[in-house]
Amino acid sequence: MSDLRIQYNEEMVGRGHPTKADTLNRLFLAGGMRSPEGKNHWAVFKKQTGDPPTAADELALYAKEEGGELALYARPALGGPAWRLI
Amino acid sequence: MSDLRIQYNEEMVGQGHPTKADTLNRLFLGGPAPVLRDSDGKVLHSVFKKQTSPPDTGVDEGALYAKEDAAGELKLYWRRPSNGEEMEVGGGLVVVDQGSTPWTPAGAGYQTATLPFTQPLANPEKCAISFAGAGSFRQTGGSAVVSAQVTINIEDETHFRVRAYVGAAAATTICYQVWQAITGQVRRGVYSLTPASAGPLDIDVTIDAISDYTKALILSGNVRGDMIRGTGSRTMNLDEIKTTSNTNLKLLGYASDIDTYYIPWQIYVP
Repeated sequence: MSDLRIQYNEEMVGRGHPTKADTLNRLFLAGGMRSPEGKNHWAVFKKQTGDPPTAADELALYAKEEGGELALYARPALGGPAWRLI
Repeated sequence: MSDLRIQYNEEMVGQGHPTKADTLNRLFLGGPAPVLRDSDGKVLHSVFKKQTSPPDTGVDEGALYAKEDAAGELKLYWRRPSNGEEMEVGGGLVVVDQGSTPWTPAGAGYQTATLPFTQPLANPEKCAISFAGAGSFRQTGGSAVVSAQVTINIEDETHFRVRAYVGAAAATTICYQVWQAITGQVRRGVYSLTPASAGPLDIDVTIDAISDYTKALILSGNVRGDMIRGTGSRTMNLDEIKTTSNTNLKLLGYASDIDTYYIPWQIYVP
């Protein structure tokens, strides 16, 4: 199942129903990426082709290709110059 | 409340109900303050739970996660696409070798010194060298030039990368020479640029084709100008330089006269 969003014709079911699958929390938990208390197990970044915009008091973390390898980047507020973390 | 998921027997309530707690947005926002995300969905902070193994990554995906290192400390890691290499993110550079090497050039002008490693580098392409401190090498005035120089096989290599950390957006010059063991210097060049901002700066230096009988060459990537002059440390990364001999580091310096200089240096590994 690649699209984890609740579909319009799905029933809204929370965690713990004896017979039905949890649909309400499905997208957020995304295959084990987060714990039941909402914390990250890990974060997967899909490759971006450009630097995302950032507003005041924001920092963006994202993946972008450089020199043929996928690298992790951070961009500071107000669209400042991005730097490579790794 | 540790499990923030909506339970099957809970009422679905959105934000702003006069008497009931919000259950629909609870998990995404991260529960009561301090929440993980703002009401517009943007991240305020992220908490990573310790993993015991790296997560799987697909094509065009990278994963960020927390895992203990060999010393038992929880560190942030990045895994490359298709279950690729794991790398620690930031703060992971450790000094493995350092010294303050005396150097007396044979004469004025460009001269080569050797910095003795006490141990070989397992992954030299991931290492950085920093010329930090108040060594007299840095007091040679405007002509000061420093380079990380390694013996490499560039039979199939046509470029190398210099990663420098600049303290200011100031005019900077990268010089390089390619040396052939028998005939001496065979290529040299200069890259001039003005970085847009302070911080890490990657410069790809392309070299010409080398005669086909040269196997092991000495390649020097020189950094001069604001990168090494002034206060504070300057770092030159050996990223993407493939070494075949890494038990010493050669340094090309410009000496204004014959004197004894002291070169402070450190080698870092991730």
